[in-house]
Amino acid sequence: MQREIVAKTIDVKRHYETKGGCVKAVDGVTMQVEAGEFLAIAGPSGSGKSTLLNLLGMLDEPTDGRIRLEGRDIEGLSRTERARIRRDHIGFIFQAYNLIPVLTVAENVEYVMMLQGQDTASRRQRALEVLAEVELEGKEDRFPQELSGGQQQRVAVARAIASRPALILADEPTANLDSKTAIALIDMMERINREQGTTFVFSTHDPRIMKRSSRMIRICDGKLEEEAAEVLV
Amino acid sequence: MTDQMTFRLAWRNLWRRPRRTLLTLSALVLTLAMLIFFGNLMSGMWDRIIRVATSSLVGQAQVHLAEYRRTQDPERFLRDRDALISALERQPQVKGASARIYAPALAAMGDRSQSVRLMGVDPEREAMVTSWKDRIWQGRYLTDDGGALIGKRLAEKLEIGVDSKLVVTVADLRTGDLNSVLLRVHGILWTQNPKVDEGSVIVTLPTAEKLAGLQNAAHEVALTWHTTGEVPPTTPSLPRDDLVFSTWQELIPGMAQAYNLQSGYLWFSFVVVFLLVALSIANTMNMSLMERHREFGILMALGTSDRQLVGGIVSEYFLLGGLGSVAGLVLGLLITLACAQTGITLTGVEVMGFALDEPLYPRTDLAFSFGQALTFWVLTPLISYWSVNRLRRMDPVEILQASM
Repeated sequence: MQREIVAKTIDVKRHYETKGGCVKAVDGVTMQVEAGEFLAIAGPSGSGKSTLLNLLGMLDEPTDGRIRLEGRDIEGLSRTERARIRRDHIGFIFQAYNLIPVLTVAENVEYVMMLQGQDTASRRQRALEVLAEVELEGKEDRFPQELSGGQQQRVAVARAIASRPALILADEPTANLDSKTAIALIDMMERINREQGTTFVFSTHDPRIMKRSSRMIRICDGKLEEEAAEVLV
Repeated sequence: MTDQMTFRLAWRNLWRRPRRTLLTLSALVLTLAMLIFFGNLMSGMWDRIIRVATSSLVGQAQVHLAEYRRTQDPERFLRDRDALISALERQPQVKGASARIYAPALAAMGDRSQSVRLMGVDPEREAMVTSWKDRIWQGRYLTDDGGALIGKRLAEKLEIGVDSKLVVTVADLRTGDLNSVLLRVHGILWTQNPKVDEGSVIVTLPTAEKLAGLQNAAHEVALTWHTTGEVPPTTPSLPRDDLVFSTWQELIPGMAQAYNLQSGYLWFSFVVVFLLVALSIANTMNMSLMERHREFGILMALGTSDRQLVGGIVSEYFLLGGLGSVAGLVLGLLITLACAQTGITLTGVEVMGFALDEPLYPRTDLAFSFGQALTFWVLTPLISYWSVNRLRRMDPVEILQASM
């Protein structure tokens, strides 16, 4: 069965001009992300995987090539339109958690829904639901600094999935976690992917994520190296 | 992003560095409080100067024969004085109307003499217009049985006191003949207006008429209003075409001009002082923005639009400005009210020739005070907008990479 394509890059390039010459962070990548995938983009440090993730997440703009998100070409969109697409269609999980320190756990989870204009009661209800999914019941009124690293990253996952985006982009989500916590987090994201069909794309060099991914693509020097044939879903 | 969370976020961000916020807040509060107090003190001072000027001689308005107003020639007097006074007193806005006769005169006591202005008034009516009755320094107020009032400085020059005799010589305005009269000094005035205190001998209308050779005539009619404002709600209608009506602003234009200038000066001072405070706000803001640079990248990544991001930060300064404005307003008004009880003594200070020998009381000008507080409130977030607007030009990835 043909699955819906959530995101697609066509010969995408991201080159930077530096004093030392042109750096080709991403150099002609063509790939697609299908709905419900648990996709890992793997590669060594500096290979361009984070840049590719930034391009998919509309945090950065390609030097050349095209990116389509849910069937829509995102080239030439204004800053406001790009922000709106990020808000409504993409969830982010960062390596360093990046929670807002002055907001409580529940408020962090509610933040994107607040930007979307959801009313206070419904977004609070949804925040509590997703906090339960990431096993953080009872922590909703804590501030991020009162939580452990693993708990903070689970809040970040809750924040990413709360508004039910089409695509969740996770940049090295386990890099700052100890082994046990990292495995628990991967389990949790895999469960969410399996049970809710949420699409995850990881930039990672964590073999535990690579092993659990439904598909893996490798990137090196800005180019796709190979695509793992194994599709688990 | 226009709900409670915006303000909750702004409020908590404001107090991330409590000491820094308190320092900025203190600068706002103290500056505003001082500006409000200084403005109210100036208001009180000008009220006082205007009150002294109007209640010591000029009144709130005057009616003259047009020719007299233009030439100040004592021979250009108006006739049918009593009818004019009655007509003016019948008008609803007029509280008091006092006719006056003026004539150049020589006042002499023994071998001392002084060139003065003889001023004839109706004592009861004059008491409705000027405050002379309350400003008798020695002796008593003028009565219908004759006698004279003189100013304190004239008394000092002529070295006379209450019950002294004074010879006043006036030229008859019709014939030019010299008429002299021996007057007993009933009282000595201290009005703080040099025109009255140094150069006037005040007598009753009949005495002045007799000396100047006039009958049922006057040179001017001084008026006061029922309202306390500077200008009456409507200009009184005059019964004759040869008369002109002038407000105190037209009669003492220098003072009116200075009054208007001081208002502009106050606002100019406000702008200068506020610019200094603005530097402090901008400095605090820049430090705060630098510390939170990465966070702005995260907020952008999550889908916060430029408008929402800038709006959120401006909200912090809206709250800071609000806090500072309310606290500054309260403190400024409290200082004003405290000084309004005790007064501030400025002995020896003269403004435009009017002595400020009595304590000066600030006037609580609520419109001015609230206006300044509101301006502070509006300007504070505007400064932050100017500082934060540069975020609009940055991409989230640029911020995130720069702050890694």
